[in-house]
Amino acid sequence: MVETFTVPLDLSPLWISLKVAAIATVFTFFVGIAVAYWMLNYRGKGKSLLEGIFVSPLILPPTVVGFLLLLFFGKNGPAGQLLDSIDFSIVFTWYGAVITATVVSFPLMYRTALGAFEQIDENYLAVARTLGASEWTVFRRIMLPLALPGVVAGGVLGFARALGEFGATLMLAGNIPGQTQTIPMAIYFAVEAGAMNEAWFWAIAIMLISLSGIVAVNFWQDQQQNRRSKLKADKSLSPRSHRTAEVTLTPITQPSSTSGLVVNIQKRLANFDLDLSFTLAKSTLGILGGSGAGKSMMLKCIAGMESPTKGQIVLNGRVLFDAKAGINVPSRDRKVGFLSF
Amino acid sequence: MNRKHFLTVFSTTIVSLFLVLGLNLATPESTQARTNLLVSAAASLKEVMEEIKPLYQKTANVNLTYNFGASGALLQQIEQGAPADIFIAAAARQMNTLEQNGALLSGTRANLANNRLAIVVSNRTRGITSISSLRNPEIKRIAIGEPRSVPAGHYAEQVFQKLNILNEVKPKFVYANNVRQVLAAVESGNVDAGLVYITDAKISNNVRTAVIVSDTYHSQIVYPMAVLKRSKNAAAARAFVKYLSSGEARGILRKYGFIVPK
Repeated sequence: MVETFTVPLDLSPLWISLKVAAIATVFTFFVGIAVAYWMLNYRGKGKSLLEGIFVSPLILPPTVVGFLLLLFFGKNGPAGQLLDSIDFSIVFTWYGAVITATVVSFPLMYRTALGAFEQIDENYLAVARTLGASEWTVFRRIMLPLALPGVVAGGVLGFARALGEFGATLMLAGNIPGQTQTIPMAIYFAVEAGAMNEAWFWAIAIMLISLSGIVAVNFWQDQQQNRRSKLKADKSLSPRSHRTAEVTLTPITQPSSTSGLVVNIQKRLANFDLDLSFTLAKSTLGILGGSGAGKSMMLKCIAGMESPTKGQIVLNGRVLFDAKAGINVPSRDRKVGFLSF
Repeated sequence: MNRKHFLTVFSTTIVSLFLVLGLNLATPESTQARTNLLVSAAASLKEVMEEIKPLYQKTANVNLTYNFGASGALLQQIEQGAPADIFIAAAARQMNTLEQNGALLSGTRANLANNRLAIVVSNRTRGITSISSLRNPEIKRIAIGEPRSVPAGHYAEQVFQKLNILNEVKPKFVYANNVRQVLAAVESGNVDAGLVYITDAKISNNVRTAVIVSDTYHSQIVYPMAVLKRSKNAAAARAFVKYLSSGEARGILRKYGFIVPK
C-alpha cells in the first residue's frame, strides 16, 4: 500500500502541544526548583513520604493521574464545584491539558534539580554565609549557577514529558480538535481511524521536537563542563574520619580581656566527642592534628557553620554562641572568614 | 533491616509467588483443552456479550475472550494482524472494508442486530427537547464518538449534517474514543449532553434520555458480524456466529434494547 505522504491540513495539534508544554514547563520549572530547594533542607517528619508523593506522577500510570485529576477538577469534585460557582471549568479545556502536563513533568524537574543541588559542595555555601551572604543571595549567586546544568536538563526533560503526555490529558482535557487535541492525541486517533500517513507525520514531528531539545541541552552541558573544568582548581577535601576521638586542647590561659577569642564548647557527634576550651588574645593560632581530630569542626563552630551541643563562643566581647542563653548568631553576621581547602 | 530478616521476607515472597502461579496454572486443566475464540466486538455490545458468554460456554466447549473497542480501532487491530476469530462492528463501513480486502470467511457475514441513536443528558441538564436544542448557549459541551473510528460518532455527525446544524454545534464537541466514553462523560456531568445508542442509555442510571433520534437522519445502525479468514478455529467461530442469531441470543439482545428480527 503506497500512498503519497501529505501534510495534514490542520496543524493545530502542533501549536496546542507547544503552547501547553511551554506553559507547563514554566510552572514546573519554578515550582520544581522551589520544592527541591525546600526539600534539600527539610529534615522534618515524613520526608520520605513527601518525597514519594512528589515523585509519584512519574511512577503512577497516567490513567491514575488522569482519574485523580478528573475526580478533583470534575463537576462533582472539590475544585470543580468551586470553579463551577464562578462558571469556570477545567475539564475539557486546554487549561486541563496544562494542569496534567504540569503534574506529570513536575517529578522530572524536581528530581533533577534536587540532584543538582545535592551535588554542590556544602563548603561553598558555608563560605558564602561567613562572608555575609543572606540565604537568598547564597541561593541566587552560588547554588543556582552551580546547579544550572542540572536545572536546565530538568527543564528540558520536563518539557519533553509535557509534550508527550497523553493518557491523563485525554481524560482531563478531552479530545477537542483545535482546542485540546495535542500531537499524541492526534496520533492516537489517527491510528484508530486508520489514517497512517497522518499518524506518521505527527509521530515524526514529535520525535524531532523532543530529540532536538535533548540533543541541544546535552551539547550545551558539554560546553559548560569544558569551560568549568578549565577554570576549576583541583580541590580536595580531607576525608572524614570515623574513628572515635576525644580532643582536649589545653587551655592557653591569657589575662581576661574584651579583645580576643574565648571558646569553651562541647560538640557531640555520632562517633565523635569534641571538647574544646581555650582563650586567645591578639595573636595567630596554628592547630596541628591528625585527620579527624576535630580541627575543621572547631573552625566550623567558630564560623557558625556548625552548632556546638554545649558551651560558649565569644569574639571580641561579642557572644557568637551561647547554648544556655540560646544565642546562635548566623554565619553571615559573625564577621568570621572561613576559607576551605 | 538486617540481612537475615531480609532473606526471610524475600524467600517467603518468592515461595508465595510460586504458589499463586502454580494454582493459576493448575486451574485451566479442569477445562479440558477448550477451543479459544477471540471476539473483537463494538464497545456498545459489552453487557449483552458478557451475559451471553457463560450461557454459551455451558453448551459449547469453547472459551470466549472479548476485545471491546471502537469499531474503527478494532478494524485497525485486525488489519495489523490481531488474532481475532470473530469481528462484530457497529457499522457496515468497517465490515465492508474487511470484506473488500478478502479478510472475511465467505458466507459467514450476518447482521446481529440494529440500534437507535439517542441524546443523553446529565441529570442537571435541562431544556433539551429536540436535536436542535443542542444549539442552546447553555449547552457548552457535547460528547460524541470520534467520527472516523467510532460509528456512533459517525452517525451523530450525519444527524447534524442532515439537520444543517453541524457547523453550529461542532465547536462544542468533545470526541471520545468509544461510545462508552461518551456515556461516561455525560454520567460524570463534565459534558452537558452526548450522543449514544439507546442501549447505552438504558444501562446507566446517571443519565437521562432526552431525545430518541429519528432513524431517518442517519444511515441504518447495523451490527454486522463475520468470521475472519485468519481464524484457526473457523468451525467453532461459525458455530458461535450461528448461535448469536438463535432465539436465545436474540432474547438477550432484545432485553438490552437492541432491535432484532422477530
